[in-house]
Amino acid sequence: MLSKNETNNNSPLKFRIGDALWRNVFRKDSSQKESIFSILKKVPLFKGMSKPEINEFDKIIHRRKYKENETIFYEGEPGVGMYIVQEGAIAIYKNTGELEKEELAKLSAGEFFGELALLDESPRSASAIALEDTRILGLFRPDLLDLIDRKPRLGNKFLFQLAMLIGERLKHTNEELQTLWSKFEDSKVIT
Amino acid sequence: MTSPITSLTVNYTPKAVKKIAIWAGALLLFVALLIILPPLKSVMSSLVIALFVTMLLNPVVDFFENRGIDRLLAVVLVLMVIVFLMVLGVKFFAPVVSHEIEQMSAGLQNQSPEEMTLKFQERLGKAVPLLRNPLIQAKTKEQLDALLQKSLSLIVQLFSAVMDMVMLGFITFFFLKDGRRMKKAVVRWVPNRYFEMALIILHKTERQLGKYLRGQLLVAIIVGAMSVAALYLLHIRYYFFIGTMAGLANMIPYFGPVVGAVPAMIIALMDYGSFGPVTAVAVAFASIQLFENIFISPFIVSRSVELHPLTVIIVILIGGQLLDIFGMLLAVPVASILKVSVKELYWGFKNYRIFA
Repeated sequence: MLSKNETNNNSPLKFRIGDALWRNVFRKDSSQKESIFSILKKVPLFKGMSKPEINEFDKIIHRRKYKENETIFYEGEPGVGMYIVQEGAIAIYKNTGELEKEELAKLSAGEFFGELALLDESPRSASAIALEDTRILGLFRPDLLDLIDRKPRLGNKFLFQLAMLIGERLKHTNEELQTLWSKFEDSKVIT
Repeated sequence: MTSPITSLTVNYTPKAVKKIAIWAGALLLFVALLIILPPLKSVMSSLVIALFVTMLLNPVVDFFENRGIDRLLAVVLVLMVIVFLMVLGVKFFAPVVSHEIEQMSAGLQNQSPEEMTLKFQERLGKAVPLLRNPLIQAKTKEQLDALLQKSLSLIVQLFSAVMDMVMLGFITFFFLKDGRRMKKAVVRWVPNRYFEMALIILHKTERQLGKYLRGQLLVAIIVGAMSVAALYLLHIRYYFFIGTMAGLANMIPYFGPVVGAVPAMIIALMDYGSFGPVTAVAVAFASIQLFENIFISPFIVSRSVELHPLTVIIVILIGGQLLDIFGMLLAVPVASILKVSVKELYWGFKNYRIFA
């Protein structure tokens, strides 16, 4: 005999099929949506954005799955946009010789790469490869430009965060350059 | 002894089998499309037209969204404004056009096509004595009869096209509202290796084509208005109807201006019976074309989708064969989509090292 709960779940069958179809075809799984929200919330580029604002980005974000060792993009190809690791791991590497490559970074869930391609179409400065079966979220320039056109306030918020991030990196690079320069000067004095 | 078949056996790896299956599937899909598409000609043309209308209206919807209005509301608003403008147009211009059409149909009812042809031949014979030759007259009559029959069937086609308008509005509504989601769903099926390339090609094609179509429409409106004004000043009957049609036909390169000018010239000849007004109409249309080619098109229509004149003529002929007048109207924009897509695909294959 069916329990009360099971009976409720089984009848009417037609409704359940329709509901499942509606959920699968027309609506995104709410748990998946929630996990994307929690991932994006942690990314500095979406800092200070409300849930409806992040949902606007969710509408233009592409979900992609990559198998282990599958290349996401190659060095030298025109850049189209940035990726955020949702699940799995990514390696960023640069070709140093014909068959040699140097690993620049390893990225895991919540980390992002390729954000400079949101600004221009210049060639990718490094390649990205999936180290294991990986899910990533892609945000691309055409969609971002379209969002800026339609929702300038939200677009500005994002661009401001992007500018802050690039500024931070520039500051960090300047500091490193200064350290290296002083080391170089010191070595000149010693020799 | 081993059989020759065994020696021919190829070791199929799962990857190779998968590849063969994909190619076989693609081939089957292509054959299925070839079988399915011809009967779905009208649905396909509705979809293509809705796509073009969406490209024309999208910037307007985006403009409202930019002002903080919800997209759904913006789409409803834009479509309502268009319906309102159409109603307004019907209210103000319909009396003029319907009067013209009534006159035309009354003319058709009073006289059979044969009578009209005879009358026209008589006028033509008076104006050009050479055309009184019975052999030439018989040939002209044959051609004119065919032309008249064609123009009658064209009117029927136009009416059925009006019936399709509601359907078109419905499809356009969903394209405008959910176009972005639809595009995302399509791109989702593209394999990872081609994904970025597909995305950028789709975006560039859409942008260039949208610009081209909006430019073409603006040029058509300007040429239409100028034609109506010129015909009105020259006292040509049905000036509004013929002028509007000339504006629309202007979207068909090379053939369009001729299609627009010829009816006006025939009416001028039938009404006045001399070549003076016909020449005036021809000069007016030629001036409008000259003005359009020198001052309007270079500044409005995007040059990126320019096609070779021979290509234009061939695609218009193919379009005409497939979908009659609508095919001729759609031929150049569809060929432009193909040209821009091929150009961008070439760019993509070169830059994304697909075959490397």
